[in-house]
Parts: sequence; structure tokens; C-alpha cells
Amino acid sequence: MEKLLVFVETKGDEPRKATLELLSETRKLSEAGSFAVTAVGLGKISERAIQKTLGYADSFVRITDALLDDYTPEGYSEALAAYARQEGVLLILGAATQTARDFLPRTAVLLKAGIASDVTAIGWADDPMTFVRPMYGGRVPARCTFAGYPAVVSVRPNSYAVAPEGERRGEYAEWRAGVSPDRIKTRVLRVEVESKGKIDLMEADSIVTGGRGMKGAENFALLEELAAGLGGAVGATRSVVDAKWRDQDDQVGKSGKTVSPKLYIAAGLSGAIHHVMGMDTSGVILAINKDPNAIIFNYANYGIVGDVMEIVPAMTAELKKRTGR
Amino acid sequence: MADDKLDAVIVGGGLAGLAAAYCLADAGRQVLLLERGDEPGSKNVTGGRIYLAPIRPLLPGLFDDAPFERHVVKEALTMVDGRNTTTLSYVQDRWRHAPYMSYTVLRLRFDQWFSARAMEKGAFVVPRRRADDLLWEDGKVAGVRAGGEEIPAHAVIAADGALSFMAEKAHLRQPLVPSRHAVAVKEVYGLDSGAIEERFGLDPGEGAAHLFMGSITKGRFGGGFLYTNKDSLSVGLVLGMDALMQGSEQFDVPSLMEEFESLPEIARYIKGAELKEYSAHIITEAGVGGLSRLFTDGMVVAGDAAGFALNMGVTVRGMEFAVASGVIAARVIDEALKKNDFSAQFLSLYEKRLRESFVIKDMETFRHTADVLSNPRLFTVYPACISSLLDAVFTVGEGPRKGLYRSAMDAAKKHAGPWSAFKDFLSLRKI
Amino acid sequence: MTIVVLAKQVPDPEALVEVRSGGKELEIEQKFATNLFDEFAIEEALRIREKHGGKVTVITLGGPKATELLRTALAMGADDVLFLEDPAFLEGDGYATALTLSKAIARQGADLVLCGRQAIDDDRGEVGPMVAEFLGLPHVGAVLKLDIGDGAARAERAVEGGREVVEVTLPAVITAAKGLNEPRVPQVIGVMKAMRAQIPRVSPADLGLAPSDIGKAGSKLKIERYFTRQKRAAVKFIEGTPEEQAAEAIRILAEVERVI
Repeated sequence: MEKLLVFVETKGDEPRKATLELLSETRKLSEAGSFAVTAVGLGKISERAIQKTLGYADSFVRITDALLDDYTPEGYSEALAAYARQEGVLLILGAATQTARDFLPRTAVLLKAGIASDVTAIGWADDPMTFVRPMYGGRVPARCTFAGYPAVVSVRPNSYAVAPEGERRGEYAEWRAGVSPDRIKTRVLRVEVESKGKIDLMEADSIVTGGRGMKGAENFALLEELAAGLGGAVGATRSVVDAKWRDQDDQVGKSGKTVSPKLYIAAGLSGAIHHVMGMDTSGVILAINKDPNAIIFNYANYGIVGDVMEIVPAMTAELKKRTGR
Repeated sequence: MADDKLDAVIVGGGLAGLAAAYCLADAGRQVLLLERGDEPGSKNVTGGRIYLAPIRPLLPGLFDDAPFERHVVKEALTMVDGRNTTTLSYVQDRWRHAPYMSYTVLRLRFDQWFSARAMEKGAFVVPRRRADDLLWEDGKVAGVRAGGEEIPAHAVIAADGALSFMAEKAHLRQPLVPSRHAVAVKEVYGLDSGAIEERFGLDPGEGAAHLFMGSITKGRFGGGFLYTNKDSLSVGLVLGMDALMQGSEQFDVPSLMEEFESLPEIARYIKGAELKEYSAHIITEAGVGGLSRLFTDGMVVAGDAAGFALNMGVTVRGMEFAVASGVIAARVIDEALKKNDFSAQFLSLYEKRLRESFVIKDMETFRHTADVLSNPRLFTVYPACISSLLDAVFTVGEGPRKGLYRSAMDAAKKHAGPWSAFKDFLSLRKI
Repeated sequence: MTIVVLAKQVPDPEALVEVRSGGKELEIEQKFATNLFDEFAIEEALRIREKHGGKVTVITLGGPKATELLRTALAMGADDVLFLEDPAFLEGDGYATALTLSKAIARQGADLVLCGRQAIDDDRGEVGPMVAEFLGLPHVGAVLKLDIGDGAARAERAVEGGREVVEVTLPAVITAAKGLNEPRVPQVIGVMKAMRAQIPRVSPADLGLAPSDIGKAGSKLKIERYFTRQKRAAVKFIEGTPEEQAAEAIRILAEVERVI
């Protein structure tokens, strides 16, 4: 049976939601007997994360090496490539997070393998296997195949659903990587964390984004309340980031992040193409704008012509009534 | 010139600017052309058709391999009275043979070609740059400023179109007066060349130019046009700007265009064609009375920026005026460079040469055209009158018929007072 | 310092892209621009040279119009350019393209390689890290701030909920994120000089590459077909007073769409 390797990324004590989405998908294949799935972690992983992951994979291998305690693209890629080579895996998969997109391409080169980045759908049963990835700012999905294997794939968050955790399926094992010290040439000097517990835009199920129609940085508090009620994140348009009301990290759009949440609420933004390209694949889009001719309404499922300052708090209140949140 | 200054900076990459750039580069001058669009031609709109005879002698041989569309062999004029139309169509056999009198043209294609020719000669054509201001030295124009960068030059040619900012900055231009300008809207429809030839009764390579006037502009100054290109049709409307500004509901340009295109005559031509382009532009129609001042120390004004365009009602000429004024400007600047004299006095030679050429001569001849053409009766009464007359002549109904003279008199009385008709007739002598 | 910048000419972000021939081909409006993220890379290279001295070479692999990108780089102040012009280089996946570019870089040597974090047409973000691996160099991706020191560089990048400062030894590959700098607008005088410049080219043979190594032929990931995105149905407006609209919106999202 062919082997699949799924790179497990953690956030604090937990495996990342995007990793669990991917493992939920690969678990189906394992249950069908199509592939053997091994979850792979690098460096320090918490016990809790390991246990949780074992509810989704046939086995969890933690690749250990002192040099892997801190993430470096050169360290992670060498270790993962070495393990993949030893196991003779068919595919190495990972959620297309910033980290994975940073080191998986190097892994591919080490394995002389092809890579498909930010894939949104996989045709496992196709022969050869097919991978769909978005091009041209998401306007043109392209279906691709590999000329040979092994191959590396990163999967866009929110492409699959997280299934309920199953019973512990498999074994935990460790594997010593022999990472060469002179390969490691980067060193993290310091990390400045601004906001803990902020939900990552790429993984959020709901996003509320504000544009210039919010009329000021202080009014984003209204969006944050709504987002909190939804259990989601707050995004920003380019003009709002340029005006320094919000961080570059929060920017949704061509030169910011591309997101695909289940629910996208566009509040007080016009819908310029460079923004739309970053959220067009969202599940349901609700737009709120004073101008009935705003372009954003061309891209939304539902629209409210009105004042965001009135509508948003009213929605938050309504949500509280329903869910008690 | 061995110093830092460029020989000339040309503002605007339309036909006047490109012609000037070509000529100056050909004369060995270091010339820079600044065009604010993505490329020359991207911001230019024409109906349109260019008359070659006046400009071939100015640039011999150059136009032999120009990407023209079709040479026009058929001229048509339609007077529109609601859904009734009267069309006069003329084919002159001479026009069928080289050298061709006029060609239909698509600006993006043509201007790009012209720009490439100018660059081959050594001109620097720089797109995506807007000249925002002039540079001054001792009260004389000494270059331009573009995006914060100063570009000194011995001479500036302002060829930046009907709303020339450069001419304004040099106080040469009169501010925008609506009655002197018109708005043109145009659509280009893709249509197979065989279908075009079929629909317009043309041989391969031949073209037709068709003008429309009457109720399509709801009694105000303006008209419609349709030109055949190689594999597309240019269709559009021209509307006097003050007519638009006095606007009531009916002067909504898109609806007028829609109505115009729904006329069976037009609809039939564009049936099955694919809309490829939509554009709008301001054109100057004031004639010689509305010309800007054409020169000052260190600068001359050419093309639409100077107001060189001529609406004759049945034809509109602008392109060859632009080319000619660009060539003449270039030659005068070349001579100024030889003499190192860029004073207004020397550059007055530019106006003198223009007056000796068809550019101002034709504008003088047709000086009163705009006035005559803004007579509202031309767009309402006379088309209706002609329509009534021809209706009486051609329609055979149930009852007995009137004599032709009788029919004519009845039509005239119905639509036009005899006295105003006589006055109008007299005024035609002016055009 | 020898600085090499990898820059790509891409279709203008607003250019029309249409799927044709049943998904086999793309028809792309022929309007081009320098990839946004590569503009930051070019600008950063020039700033580093201004501060530390050295030479900036800009390399591009692209179609015939890519000379415009190189002339703009020269107009901005680059010392040298190099054009990988052969059509056989084109349409490569990340692997083939990175392999090709790494050979071009190795041929002339570099203390620092800069490129954008990803190209806005292919949206892959692979070439930067892969070039680094092919050259056996470290890399730092999506950099917001870069300081060059003695034999090492300090790079700041965004990480979840904050910023990370990384030190990397040189030579290294750095990929640029938005916010790294404000690219300069080349002066017209620079543009005029660049219009006259000679653009050197290299062929696959110059790089020691066989046709099977490069472009489409050398790709490990093949594009089978393209799809047209399904358009969303027309928007449904929610009417009423603000309170009514808000309540209805929540109801729809919870009960009809089930996304809450």
C-alpha cells in the first residue's frame, strides 16, 4: 500500500485546525484501505497534540533532533525529506500555512520531487492523481498531475472539514533525524507576540472585514464584537491598512491574505478587485454597504444596504439572543 | 546640443505629438515624448477616418505601410426623422484607386505603429508619464515637470489634447467653454470582414463612411457616425456639450446611443456583431474662432490642444490637422534649435506656416460652419420636412394623389415657416 | 556586495484571463506589469547597494515583453540585467524554474539573492525557497524589514500574531513581502537611458541545461486543464429597518445557510 505523510503543525498545545482538516480527509482513505497514513511532527510537540492527532492518523512519528527544537526551513526540510526517503512515501502533505509554504518547497528539491502549493481539491482516485490549485488570484483553478513520485502537496486551509475525533487508531513513534549542524544557517533572535489567541485569518470559519466605510480605527471594535460572537476573525482592506487603522497581517486581498472561510461579512467596503481576489472563494458572503451600487454586491450572496454602524451592532445583539454568546 | 537640456519635450502621444516626435527625431534631435496613457493611442478616440491627401506630402512614404483599416469609397449621409430615414449615398470612382483619398482608422493600432516609427528614428516615447506642469526660466517656458521630476528642454510642444493642461499653464488657452466642445461616444463592434463587405456593398479592402443627423440628437447639435474597419465597425454619436449640460432626461448619452443603435439602418449593420470597445472623448468644434494662442516663448501648441478640428456637419476632420500641425511644429522647432532662438517672436513662424497651410486655411473657409450647424431646424424641421415630402412622393395610398409641387409645398408649410426656411437657405452660403 | 534580484513579469492584475479550448488554453489580455512583490525586491537591492556598495543584477525569465521589466530595473538604477529569453524556459513549474534560475545565479555568484515572496499569476511562492535549496543557501521568507551586517543579515517577518526577527548568514536568499519598502518611480532620464541599453541574454546551453531540464518539459507538476470559476448567483438584498435587516441576516445565516 502506498504511503502518505501528513506534516502536523501545532499551535500551542493543539494540532492546527488546518492539519486536522487534512487528516480528516486522509483518514477516509486509510479507512478505505487506499493508503497508509502517517502523521509526522518535527521537534517539540506536546503530549496533548500527539494524542489528539492519533485520533486521525494510523501512526504519529515525531522526528527528533536538537536542531529541530526551533523551526528553520533548512532544518525541517532536511529532516522531513530524510524520513520520507527512508519510508519511500508517495506523497508528503501539509496544510498550506505560512510555515509549510516556507519549507515544503525545499523538501521537494531535496527529494527531487514536484510540488503543488495551496491545493484546494484532490482527486485521490484519479489516475494519475489530480490536484486542483487556484491561479491568477484565484480566478482560474487549474487541475494538475505529477509526472512522477514522490511528490509534495500543501493544502489550503478550509478545503476540507474537520471530522469528529476518532478513537486512537495507531502508534506513536520517534525517529532520530541526523540534521547536519552546518546546514542550519538561520537563528531566531526574538519573537514579539502582539496578540495571543487571535484566530488566524487563514483558518477562521468566519471573517468580518471592514473597509473605509468603518470611518475610523475605533469603529473596528464593533466588528470585533461581531467576530467574537461568531467565533471568527476580523479582516481589513488595503486602504484601511494603508491608513494604519489595522495591521498588515489582517489584510485580506491580493497583496494580503487569501481566505476561504465559511462565512465572510464585508462591512463598509466597496469591493475593489484586489480585495475580492482574496475572499472570492468564501462559502457565504454577506455585504453591508450604504451604497446600493457598491461593486461588492456583485460578489455577495446576500446584501444589506444600510449603515454598518447600525447594522453590525444589531447583528451582534441578535446573535447574542440566539446563541447566548 | 551639448548641455543638459533636451532639444524638445512633447507632451501627449496622439497624432500631433507623434508626428512632431517623428520629424524631430528624423532631423537628428534629442526628443522626449511623454504620454500619460499606458501607451500612445490608449487614450485617443476618433470616429474615425483620416484624409491622406493633405498630409502625404508632409511625410512622404511614411504612410505606405501604416496599419490603416479600409480605404473609403462610399460616402453616405442619412437624415433621420424618428423612424423615417432619407439616405444619400455617393461613390466616386477615383477613390477606388491608389493613392487613396481617405482611410478608416483604429487609433490604438495606428498610434502604436506611429510610435514605433518615431522610436526607430530615435525619439524617446515614454508612456505612463503625465506632465503636470511647465518649467519656467526668466518668464520663458524651459521644459516640463512630470511626477516631481524636472525635465529641462529648449522647447516644449503641447500636444495634450482638447483639454490641454500645458496650454492652460502657459496661459495660451481659453478655459473650457461648453459651446466650443462636443462629447463623442463610440462603440466598436467586431464583425467578420466578409459580412462587412456584404452588408455595405463593398469589395475587399474597401470602406464606407456613413454620417447621420436629425432626430437622433433630439434637436440639438450633433450627429451619428458609422465607419467600416477591417473586421469591425465604429459606431457613435457626437453631442454638443452645452446641449448635454442644459440636459433634461432625454440627454442621457447612453440612452441616446441605444436609441440610435436601434434604428433599423444601424441595427441591421451591427446585427450579430460583438461589442468590443466603448469609449468617450471630448472634441473641440469651435472652429477657427476657438483656437488657442498657438505659441509663446519656448512653447508651441499643436493638434486638438490648439483646437485644430473641423466639423463640417457632413464630415469631421481632426486627425490630418493634428499630423500637419505636429510636422509644422517640429520643423519650426528644428529651425529654432539651429538658431538657438526659442523666443515667441521666432516661434511665431509656427502660426505663420499654419496659416499658409490647409490647417488654418480650411478652418477659415469653414469658419461659420458651427453657427450654421447649430441651427436646431437642421436636426428637427428639415429632416421631417424632407421625410414628409418623400413620403408624399413615394407612398401610394387609397385615395387620389397630389401633384409633386403641391406635396412639396404642403410639407414645407407643415414643418417650416417659409421665411425662416429662406433665411436658413441664405445662411448656407456661409459654409 | 553582489546582489542578484529575480523578478518576473506577470499579466497586469486587472488583465482579462479567459479559459479557452475546453480548458486547454488561457487567453490572457496582453497587458503586463512587474510582479508586485518583485518590485519590493528590486527596490531593496538598490537601497542595500546605496548603503553598502556593490552591484545589483536583475534577472528575469519570461516572454518577449519581459525586456520592459529589465529596462525599468535599469531605469531604477540596476547595474546589470540578464534575460533568460528562450521560449523553452517558459511554463516551468516551481522546480524547473527554480533550477534554471539557480544556474543563472551560480554562473555569476551572489552574496545576496532577493525575490518576491510569490508571483501573482501562478500564486506558488515556491521559487524563492527552491532556488535557495538548489544553491545550498539558507533563506528567509516573506521579509518585512532587512538589515545587512557583516557576513549576516537580520530579517524581520510576520508570524502568527506578531513578528519574528531572524539572523541568517550570507550568502542567503530573501523573499520580499509587502511593506518591505516603497519602490521608487524611475526618473524619465533613467528611462531614456534604459531604452538604449543592450539587454544580455543567456540560453539553456549557456547554463548547462538540457531541454528536458527546463520549462514545461522539465516540470514535475503538469497542468492538465483549467477551469472557469462558477459565478455566484445574483445578490439577494435583505430589506427592512436596520433591526429587521440584522435579524433577518442572522436568521438566514443560521437557519438557511447554516454557517453560524
